[in-house]
Amino acid sequence: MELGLPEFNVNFFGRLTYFFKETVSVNIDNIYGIHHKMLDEKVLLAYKGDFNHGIVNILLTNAKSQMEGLGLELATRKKLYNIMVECLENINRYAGEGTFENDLLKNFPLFLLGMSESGYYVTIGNLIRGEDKELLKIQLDDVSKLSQSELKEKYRDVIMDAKITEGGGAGLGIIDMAIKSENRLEYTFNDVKDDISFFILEIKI
Amino acid sequence: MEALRIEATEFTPEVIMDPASNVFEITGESRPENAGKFYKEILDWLDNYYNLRYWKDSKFSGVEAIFEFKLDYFNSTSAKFILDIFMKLQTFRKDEINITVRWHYDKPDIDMKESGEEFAQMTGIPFEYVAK
Repeated sequence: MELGLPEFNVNFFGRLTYFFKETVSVNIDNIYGIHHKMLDEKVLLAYKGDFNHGIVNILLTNAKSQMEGLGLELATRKKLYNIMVECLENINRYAGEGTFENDLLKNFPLFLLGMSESGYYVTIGNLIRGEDKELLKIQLDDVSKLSQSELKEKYRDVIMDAKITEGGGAGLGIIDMAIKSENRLEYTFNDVKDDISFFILEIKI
Repeated sequence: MEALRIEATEFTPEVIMDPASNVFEITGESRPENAGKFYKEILDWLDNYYNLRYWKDSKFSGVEAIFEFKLDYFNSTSAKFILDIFMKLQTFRKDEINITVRWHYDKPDIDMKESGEEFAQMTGIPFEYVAK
């Protein structure tokens, strides 16, 4: 089976959902298609699989050397690194190893770092439970409405008030990503089954 | 009182808290797997330092201390605990321990400098900024 070329009038976000759906079952016929798709999307680093603290470390080390190797400016590297850490820790929090049952394992989390027309993007996709989704969606919807200066004010409020639990969850990471990105965070929740959805978040710098 | 020394790992910073020289340093990257546990040790040590000085010297005036923040990166969970450290330092300052906070950052890393400015504003501690 051959995957079609991406349509240029569709934004990357739509293409990613397509990419994800089309590549759930990987076989020898479409590997080359996936490879090409990644070249088209200028993917620098991609991972799909189980998540734990060790994997997060490996991905971050990898991303660091990739970015250095490509000669990205220090400020850009740090910004991306910042966003990647928050993203990867989010995956770990909501969909880390052992969170979901066997029948959902084909929905392993997904992490992408790539180049866009105007800069770089970090995209993550992972399953999320209904109760987690409710809070995350409120936080994302809220953050999306705020200007840069309002975001900074919000950050101050949250860090001063919030009890940060070990699992995080105060939403500080989301505010921080929005401040660093200076772009609107793009996200969707796609129904999978019962109250479980596949969450996709894209952050551009 | 013993100095607190924690060696750096890939995801936790090096920490040196020296009560003899009154120089405190945090250097490296901070995204601990368990940030609460990691920072509790530092916060507890600072409490102990404060109490010892208070009971031993009965007053603080004249103590000059320097806190060197040399973090390359910290995650949002660490940020909360770093704020706790600064809040503590602010109470020290009220009791006349003259703590100078030096916030180090890579010159092009404006985000890091802004983070320092945020902490300074939130706690009312004047920071010295050191660009490298």
